[in-house]
Amino acid sequence: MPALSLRSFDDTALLTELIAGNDTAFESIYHRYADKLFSYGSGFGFEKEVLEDAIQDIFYQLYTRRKDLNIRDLKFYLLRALKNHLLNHLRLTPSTTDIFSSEFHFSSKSTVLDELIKEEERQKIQAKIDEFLACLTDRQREAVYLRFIEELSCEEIADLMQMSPASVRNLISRAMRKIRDNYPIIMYLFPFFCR
Amino acid sequence: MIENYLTHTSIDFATDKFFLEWRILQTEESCAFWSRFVETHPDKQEVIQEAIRILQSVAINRKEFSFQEKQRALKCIRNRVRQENKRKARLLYPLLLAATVLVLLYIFDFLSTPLPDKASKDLVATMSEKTSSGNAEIQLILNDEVVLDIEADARIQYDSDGRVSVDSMLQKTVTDKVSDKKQIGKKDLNKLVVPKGRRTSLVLSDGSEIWVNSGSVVKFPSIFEGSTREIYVNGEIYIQVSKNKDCPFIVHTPSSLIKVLGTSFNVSAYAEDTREYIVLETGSIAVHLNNNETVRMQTPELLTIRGPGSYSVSEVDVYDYISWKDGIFRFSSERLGNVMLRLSRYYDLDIECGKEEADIRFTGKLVLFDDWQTVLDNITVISPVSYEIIDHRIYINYKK
Repeated sequence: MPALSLRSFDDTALLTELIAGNDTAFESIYHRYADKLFSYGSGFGFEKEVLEDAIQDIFYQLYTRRKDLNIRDLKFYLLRALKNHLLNHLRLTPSTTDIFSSEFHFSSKSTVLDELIKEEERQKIQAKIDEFLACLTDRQREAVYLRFIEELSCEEIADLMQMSPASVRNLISRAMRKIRDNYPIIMYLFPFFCR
Repeated sequence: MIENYLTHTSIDFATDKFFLEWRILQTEESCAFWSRFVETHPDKQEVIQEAIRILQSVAINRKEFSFQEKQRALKCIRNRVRQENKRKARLLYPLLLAATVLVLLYIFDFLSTPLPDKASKDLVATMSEKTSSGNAEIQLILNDEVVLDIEADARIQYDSDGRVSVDSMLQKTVTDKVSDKKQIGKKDLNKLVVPKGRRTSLVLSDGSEIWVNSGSVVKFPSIFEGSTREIYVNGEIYIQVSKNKDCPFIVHTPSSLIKVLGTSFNVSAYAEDTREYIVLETGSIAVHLNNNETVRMQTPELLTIRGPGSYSVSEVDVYDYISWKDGIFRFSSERLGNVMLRLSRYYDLDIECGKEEADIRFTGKLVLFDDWQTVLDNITVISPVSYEIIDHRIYINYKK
């Protein structure tokens, strides 16, 4: 597979190659991001077929409009394109009951990929993380996902979720408070024990 | 409790909520606590590194396409790109074909069609004096002698004998039959002068119907004689040519000569404009340019003439260009600058549109029976601009 030869290229280099018309670069970008987009989109609860079509459209657009798009950050561009695409899909699908709401539900299901630990322990960790994230609201979960998994900046998350960077920080700190409420009381005392 | 942490395995850490808060939310408090913890308990560093590594391997909502699925998707995208390229090529193809056919046709046309000769060019040129006479009424000048003022709603009709009747709510005028003695030649053409802010329509002696837009002059004979029907236009007209395959209809404009048999099209050819636009609604036409080049047009095409030898053909929604005859302007993604140019001409206004504002794309329908204020008000509702009138001049700028 020729795409492999560009694996070591970073996004900026791939993007430059893509704009220059390098089809291999396009394939590398696809292989790098198709699954990430699939994962992010599935958090919103869309069917696999819908996401497959959406991702195809996004990459088609990326290819045909590569010279005009003026992309600063490839990952951020793709995530945003997917979210916009899915929002439009919701608006255009008549069966959707909640057409006036641009809010998405964002669910999360964790998977521990580390293969050195036992299956049993893996299950345990996954359960704890899921429990941890279950305390959050949909928006908090989406923000945490983008920060923790995709490592986007607060500014990028703010853009994606249509809010100010300050409210993203706020959202995350509120998320923490909510989790704390579920902590055993002893946790609050912990820092003192340490001293 | 602290003892608990001291005996924690990496799995214990990875399932601890406060540890998760540090790794996932990275709150200030948790960061401070855990960096301090590692500092004070260096023996735990290895276990904590291990726990961090485990959590780094956590994926949320992990979904993967199979390799086959990815290959299939890439193939689909490639096919779509290829089809789009083909579609673009298909738009170009008829032009190339037409070009080769034209080489053959041109020889015949050259022999049979009077090309825009010097005399007819002069005739069009003399029309640029047009509406500057200061008269704000539509005038029909018959054979350089009789001048009829035409009401705005009047219908001007020539019958097959060359008699003209002007029919309006207020008056009905019928002229005599064109005298047989009088030689009908280019000098004896009728002239219809439509000042800015007015428009009218006219039926020629062969039954062809012309809508004449604001600020235009049209010259035509009372009856068509000879083997061609020829008229001269400086400005904008929409014309439905009645079919007569033995007698081609020819429209002379400042930069072209349009030859048709029976068809309808719009020509916007104001001498003061840098561009001339011809839009074909039905049938096909041949346009001879001043540099002796010939362009054959198919519907629904727009021919833009920028100057001698410089032109382009594109497919358009024809109604956008002829809607003015029905008293509306319809625009799809038109530059606001062009919208304002059309309005200034239609209503005889002095409009200045800011440079950036001119590039705003405007889509919508403007009803021209309204007065210009209503039309401009409607534009400000659907686009981000407002207007201001200073010294009889209208300035279009972004809303503040």
